[in-house]
Amino acid sequence: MSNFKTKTMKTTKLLAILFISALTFTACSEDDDHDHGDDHGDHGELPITQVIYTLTNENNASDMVTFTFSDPDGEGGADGTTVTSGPLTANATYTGAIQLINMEEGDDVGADIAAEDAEDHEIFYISNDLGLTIETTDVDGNGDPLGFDTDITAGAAGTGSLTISVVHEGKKPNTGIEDALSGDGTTDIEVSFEVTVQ
Amino acid sequence: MHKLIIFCVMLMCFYTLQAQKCKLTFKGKITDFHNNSSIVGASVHILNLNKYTTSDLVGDFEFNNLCSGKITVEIKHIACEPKKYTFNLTKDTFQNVTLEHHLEELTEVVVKVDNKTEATSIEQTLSKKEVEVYADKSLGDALKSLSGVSSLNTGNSIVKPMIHGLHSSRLLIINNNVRQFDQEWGAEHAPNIDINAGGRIKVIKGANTLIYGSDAIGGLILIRPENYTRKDTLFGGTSTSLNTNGWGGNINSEMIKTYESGYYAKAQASYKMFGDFEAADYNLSNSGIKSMNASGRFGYKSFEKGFDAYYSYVNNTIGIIRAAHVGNVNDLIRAINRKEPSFIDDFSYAIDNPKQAISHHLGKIEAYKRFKGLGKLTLQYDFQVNRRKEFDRRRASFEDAPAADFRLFTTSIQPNLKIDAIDNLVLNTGFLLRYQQNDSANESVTSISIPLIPDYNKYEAGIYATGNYKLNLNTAISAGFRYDFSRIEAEKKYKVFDWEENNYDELFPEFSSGVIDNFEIYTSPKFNFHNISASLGLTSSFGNNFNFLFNYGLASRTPNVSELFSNGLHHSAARFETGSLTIKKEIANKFVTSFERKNQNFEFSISPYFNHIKDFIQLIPAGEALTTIRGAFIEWKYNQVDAQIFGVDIDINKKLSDKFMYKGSLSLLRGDNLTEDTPLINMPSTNFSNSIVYNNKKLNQLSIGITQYTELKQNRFPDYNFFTFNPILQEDVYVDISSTPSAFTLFHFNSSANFKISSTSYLNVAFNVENLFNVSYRNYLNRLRYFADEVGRNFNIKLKFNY
Repeated sequence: MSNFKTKTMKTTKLLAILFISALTFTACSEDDDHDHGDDHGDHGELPITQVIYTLTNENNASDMVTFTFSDPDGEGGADGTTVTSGPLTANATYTGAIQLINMEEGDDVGADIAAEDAEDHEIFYISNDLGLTIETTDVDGNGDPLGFDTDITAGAAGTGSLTISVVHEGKKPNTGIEDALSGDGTTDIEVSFEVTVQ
Repeated sequence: MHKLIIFCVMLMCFYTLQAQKCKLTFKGKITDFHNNSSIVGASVHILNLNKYTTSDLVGDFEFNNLCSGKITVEIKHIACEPKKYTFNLTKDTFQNVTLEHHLEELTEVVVKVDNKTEATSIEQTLSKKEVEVYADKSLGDALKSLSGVSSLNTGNSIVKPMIHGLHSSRLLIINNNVRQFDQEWGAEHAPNIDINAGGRIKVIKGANTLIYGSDAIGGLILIRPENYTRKDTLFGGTSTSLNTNGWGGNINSEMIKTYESGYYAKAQASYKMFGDFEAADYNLSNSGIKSMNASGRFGYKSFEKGFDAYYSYVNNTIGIIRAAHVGNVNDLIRAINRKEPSFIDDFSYAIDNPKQAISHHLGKIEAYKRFKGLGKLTLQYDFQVNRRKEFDRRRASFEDAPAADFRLFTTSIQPNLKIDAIDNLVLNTGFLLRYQQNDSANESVTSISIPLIPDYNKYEAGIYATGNYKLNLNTAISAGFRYDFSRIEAEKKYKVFDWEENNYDELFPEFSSGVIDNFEIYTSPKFNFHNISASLGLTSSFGNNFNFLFNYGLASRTPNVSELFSNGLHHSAARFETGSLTIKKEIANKFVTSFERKNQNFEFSISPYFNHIKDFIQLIPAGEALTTIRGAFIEWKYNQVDAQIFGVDIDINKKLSDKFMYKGSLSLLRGDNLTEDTPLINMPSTNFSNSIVYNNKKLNQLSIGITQYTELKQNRFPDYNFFTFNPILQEDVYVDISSTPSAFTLFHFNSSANFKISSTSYLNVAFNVENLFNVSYRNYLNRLRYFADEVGRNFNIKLKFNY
């Protein structure tokens, strides 16, 4: 009996040593090298520093209104600026297109998102106080609204605001932005513009 | 026949030889190693001849009529380390023998005794056994069981210890005699230490242990290695812990080999894995952790000389609940108002973004030698490499790119001379040289133009002297002085706007390179700091095991790189953190006293303290939101105010009967911002615990206990709430980031028993329930308290096999 015990004891000790050395070796080999070099790898993605929302009157191509948010120095630093190019024409219908741009490289990051990551994004247009009717006309791969293409119908004359919000990994489909953000979604972009209808 | 003759010849030769040489004398003198005074009455024993004598009044001894040949002498004296010599006696011999009778020195070498770090230090200890209870938790969790120690958490796996309301760079964590440097500045950076690797852990509540540094404004955490007895043996243990909450646990194994010669070696490794933890009512999605650790040490220990080499590796991957990632301040308000996390998924072991992946290497080598009539000279060299990657939830193409990636390298050399030749006086003096370098990954890796922490080089030099003097049997005093110089040379980009907005272009034109690229200016900030620190201590014991201690410490802390240079988003709470180049060092005056009684039946300690901190550096919400393309963020800024923190820690241990034991503790604390006349942010609230333990030594060391722990609501908090415009609702909304959660009470159940397996091995089985009543609660000192509840009930089984 005691002989048996000493034997198991030795086995346990051996196993313990084996376990320790196995873990040590794994630990060491997993320690990857420092990759702080200048490799430009696949991380070519760029932060969005500009939003340009262009509206074109369906019946009059020369009636164009652009809403531009620019923050050329990115998050932090100087606050971004918003520019509304002019007023919308009352009761007119516009076709809207949005660009999400990296100003440093002049890249349209929005186009990449629409092409590669549409299912995880949705762009919302919110205007609560100015009788604008805004409709999303494009869909992602699942047939859910996406928001790069829109139709806007202006109402009666007045002033108000337009907020453009890009929700990342939000609930899709949804009943509106609050619903989209009720789950896992986060706000990637949230910019507001003054709007005049005349 | 032939053989017999040879044998007879040999026998005769031997006999004659003995007859001729058995007139030898062996004389000697026994003196104290420290001061060369004679040792009277030491026993001298020639083991192989079984002859005894004792040293006389001048320490001399003498053996006569010895035969030549090999003899083994053993010299013993009360409270001394026995000495053994073996030599060939061929002529009359005189031998000087030095013995060591300073008990406290010897305990370092031979016995396992809980030494105090310094005679006058106010400290609390977690024994190896108590630490093992937290084998599958973190250092912060283990320390929290001590009064006056709380923690600043990010979720439940990132636990930063806090002593008397202070954390991060205000605490020194000394891991195996090496000061831990693992980017401790960040509130969500927990120390990367495997608590299974060390022995006991001490908390010193004062700035008095100047040997380790000048900036222990909050206190010191010492993780001490175990001491081994000098004998030839191989032993070890394997333990495992299994939990229902998180459906995981850990396994830890260690083997120790010791030799009578004084050599020893130890290898240890542990692996920990948990999936999503569960709050009382829901799953905490993405809160899992994976941790892999290994350590090894070997060395040689004797009274006169020795060395110790140690290496440890820690690798942690820690998930941060997915619901804690918010895009902007309106998302944060939604999260606060929602009362439940926005994202609750089924249980999973997967750890997605947001997460942290950290590895930490620590190596050291230490050697010492004692010199007769002087003391002990120790030389230590150490290095650490800490690599931290933080992953945020970003667009798919960024998923694998860390949002932050830092590599911190630290190396130091520190000689120390301990002079103990003078009776009742121990002096320590030495210096420190340290170099530290941080390498932050650039934009090509992180896709973030300005890293939160810049690249920098830091040089440090320090010199110190401390002394402990025993006035009499009951009273000892201590004093210390330390001077430190440090220089930081950073390479950092600033947004031109920020550089000018903060007036840095006028205050620090010398830092600017003048090179501007895409709205960013290249700068090289350089700072020199001179720190002076000092300490005074007193301990006085009187009848009935009572003891009174008093400590005063003057500590100065150089601002850390995060306080100086931080500049960027910390997505977890929609915060943008900004440091300031104008931040100066902070200076603390801390007074701690303790009135204690150490006794088997009834022991207690009452320890009031007062800490005044001039230019206390704090990180607070700056009130207004910062506008970005993502919407508004809360800007958290470092600023400096005068602060005071005072409170009292009370511990009681009472033996109720043979088998029942009561244990209670209470911590009261108040922190004030004196400059603005408001409470300080993130101060622990009043908390207390009571436990009753039943112990039966005869019945397999059975122990059953129940513990109650209560934390009251923190009613003293500064109000940094503000209104922000919500463009979706087109109205101002209230951002309540300051209010504190309600009080809570938790009950825990513990039980354990030992089962003997053979004469040298046993199995310890423990069954525990944490948060017995599955209370749902939130904790003020958890950075994720806006998003989710704390962990709910957990059933735990621990098996420990010692062999």
